[in-house]
Amino acid sequence: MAEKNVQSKGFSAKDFLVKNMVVVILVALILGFGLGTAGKFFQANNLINLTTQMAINAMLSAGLTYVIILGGIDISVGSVAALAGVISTLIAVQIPGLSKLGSIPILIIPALVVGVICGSFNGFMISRMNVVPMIATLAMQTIGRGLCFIFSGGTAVSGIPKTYGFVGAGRWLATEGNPNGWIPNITIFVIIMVAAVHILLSKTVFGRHVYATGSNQQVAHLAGVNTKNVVFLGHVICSVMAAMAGVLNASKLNSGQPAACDGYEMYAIAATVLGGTSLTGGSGSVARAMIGCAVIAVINNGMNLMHIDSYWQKVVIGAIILFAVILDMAQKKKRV
Amino acid sequence: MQPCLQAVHITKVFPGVRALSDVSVDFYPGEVHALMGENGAGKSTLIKILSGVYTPTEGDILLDGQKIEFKGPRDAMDRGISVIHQELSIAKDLTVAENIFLGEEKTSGMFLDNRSMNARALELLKQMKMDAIIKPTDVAGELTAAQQQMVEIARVINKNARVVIMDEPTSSLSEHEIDALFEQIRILRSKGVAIAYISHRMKEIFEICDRSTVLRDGCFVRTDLIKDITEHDLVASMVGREIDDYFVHTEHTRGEETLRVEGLTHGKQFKNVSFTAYKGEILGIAGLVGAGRTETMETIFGARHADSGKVFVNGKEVHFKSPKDAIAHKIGMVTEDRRTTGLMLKAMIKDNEVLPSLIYHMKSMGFADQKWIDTVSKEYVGKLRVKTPSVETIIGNLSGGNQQKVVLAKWLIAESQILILDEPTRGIDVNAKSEFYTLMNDFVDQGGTIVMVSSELPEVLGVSDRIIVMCEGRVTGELSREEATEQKIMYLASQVD
Repeated sequence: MAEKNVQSKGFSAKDFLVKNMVVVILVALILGFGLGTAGKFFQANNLINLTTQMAINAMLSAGLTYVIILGGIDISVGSVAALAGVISTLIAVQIPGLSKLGSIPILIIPALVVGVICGSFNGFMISRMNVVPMIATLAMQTIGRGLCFIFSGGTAVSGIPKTYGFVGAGRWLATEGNPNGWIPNITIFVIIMVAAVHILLSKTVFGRHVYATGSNQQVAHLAGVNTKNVVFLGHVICSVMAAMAGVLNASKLNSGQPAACDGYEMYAIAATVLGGTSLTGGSGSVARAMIGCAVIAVINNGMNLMHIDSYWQKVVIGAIILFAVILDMAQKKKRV
Repeated sequence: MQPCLQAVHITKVFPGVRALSDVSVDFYPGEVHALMGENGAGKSTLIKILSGVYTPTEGDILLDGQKIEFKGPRDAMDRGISVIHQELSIAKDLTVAENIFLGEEKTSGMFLDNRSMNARALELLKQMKMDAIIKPTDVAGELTAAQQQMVEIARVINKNARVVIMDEPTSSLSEHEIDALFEQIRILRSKGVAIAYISHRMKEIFEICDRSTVLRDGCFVRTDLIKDITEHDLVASMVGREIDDYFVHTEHTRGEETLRVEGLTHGKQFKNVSFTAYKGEILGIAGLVGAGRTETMETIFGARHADSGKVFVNGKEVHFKSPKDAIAHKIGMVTEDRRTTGLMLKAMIKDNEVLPSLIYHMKSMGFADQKWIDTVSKEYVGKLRVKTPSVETIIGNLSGGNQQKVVLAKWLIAESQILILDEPTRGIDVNAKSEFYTLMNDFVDQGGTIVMVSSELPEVLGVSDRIIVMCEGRVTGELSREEATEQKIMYLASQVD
């Protein structure tokens, strides 16, 4: 008993590497692309671009982290995002004299409404009707996409005021060399949102109950945790984050596309898993999911800079997901 | 002295089963009270009633002399009744402190107060003298089973539980770890906590308990102070029942050796298991739940791999990589739980019957031989008198007894010569049991070998030609049909070293 304990306490460089493999990969990728693009990768403009490219996936994967820690999965996030984007732009079209600051509630309120409704649907089906998460969210994915096309009449929403793009495409700190500004508003917005859900998960009783429920629902139930509510709320948070991502995307592109964010759920799942959140539930963190997001963004960005065919990016990302899952399994095995 | 928890004339009826009838037990503060009985005696039902999982059909629960009705496990817990389950109730991904405070986390403002929870957890572990081994920030899943149990005890102490129910707490512990557990039990007892202690191990009962209550077939048998009772009396009152006459046993003639196991060992689950089975014989493997019998059988069948030891079939050593190899050597296994490992519940009877034999009856290009499937499946449904409208019936719709016949048909169709039966009559009614024993006898009369694991003593005694008893993963004795009695088996089955 005692001996085994001493062993497990000892610091091992190998354990550290395995646990933080994703960080190692990230650093290696950054250095690799830095060399491969002859420093172009490290230019300030590119690094700032990188944060805006990460923004949507960061929102999606931060919310998805809750659901995956709960031992579930949500493949409806792309559709929910698109639906929120369509509805938000449809409202924006009705307000021709929209001010920059006035665009903020036009983003946030529809996102909250769409997110809460879609998340409640998923959460209700999974926690109360005992529908398998994959199927419940597959239904939501299909329904959500259908509604996008119904509301938008099948085409992109047009006639959106320019000011609608303030949050998604605007920047702070304009200088002579860079009249557009340095700090993207979208980056600030995303950092605030992600930090909020990170703190909720890591510092509050609710967050602790998310981990407990995902680790062993029966144990949590016996300890007096209302596990059904925890599962329900986890899905609501996930969908709200997805809907926020959707309106940011619409604002960034200044357009309400019914086909927006198609397939984004896979990138979000990939980022979350890369960040070390276990698909079997019980462990993970929002902060680490962000590292996963960074890996995917760096791969896409770096390969673009190197003019590598975008189809290859999918192949590389697929391979990396597989690698992350195998790593996760290897860790799990060690524990038994 | 006033008992802190009392079960008064408790009766619990489930549809078709009377699990408890008129059972009364008192638990006193500062006393360890052993609840004893064979598997199925009603101990688990009683625990579940005391901890608020079930409500009794008749009778009352008294807490400090006051009648009380628990609204659920949470309610019982809030009133000071905690259970340490046989399977550990630990969230493996959370830390020790997080587990101790699960469901009652401390907060400061809207955030978790990890510092004070860790400090309190350390205090508890210090009280238990475990602080050198377990740290509040350790991840629970990385601790040993014994350490995880200590975390559960810390949780119970933190809740200020007045009654702690321990359901076979030593089943996964080593000798050394049991001492550490007993130390904690003594500390709890000295603080005036009442402990209900469920265990099959005589040695432990006499070491740690103050009082014992024996249940048999859902009825109260006796309560005694441990100092006033002997091990022999305790065992006798746990079994003490006539062997029912529905067991079918015919005289067989024992032939040559068919299955021999030498020194089979697998980690903690079983050690140095050796036995021989012969043609024309039913070899019973007796023991308590958790004695390592199922694991041993699964290893022989190739579903698990031994660390060491040898298996011989018809005198030749074999190395089974998977059940496929065992089946090729004409061995069949009727598993313990037919619903999860014995049958494809949603499939038709005929598909279940032919599954292991399909690869031996393929037509060219790997097509299944439908004509053969139809013929043979009907033939065996007839031979074994399975009650079903047709072989195309979904097997999940049959009764337990008929399902079990189909499992047997599966191995007969695969031409098994050695059948391993693990709890073959669990959950089937008396008549179906009797029919099943007849089928077993027929098989042996035709030169087959049966190795039967059973936790039901009357069954082992009534059906077997020879009996091997296991305890804690070791073979503790062998008895011939003539010399075997319930007392002797129970004695061997609780031989903890």
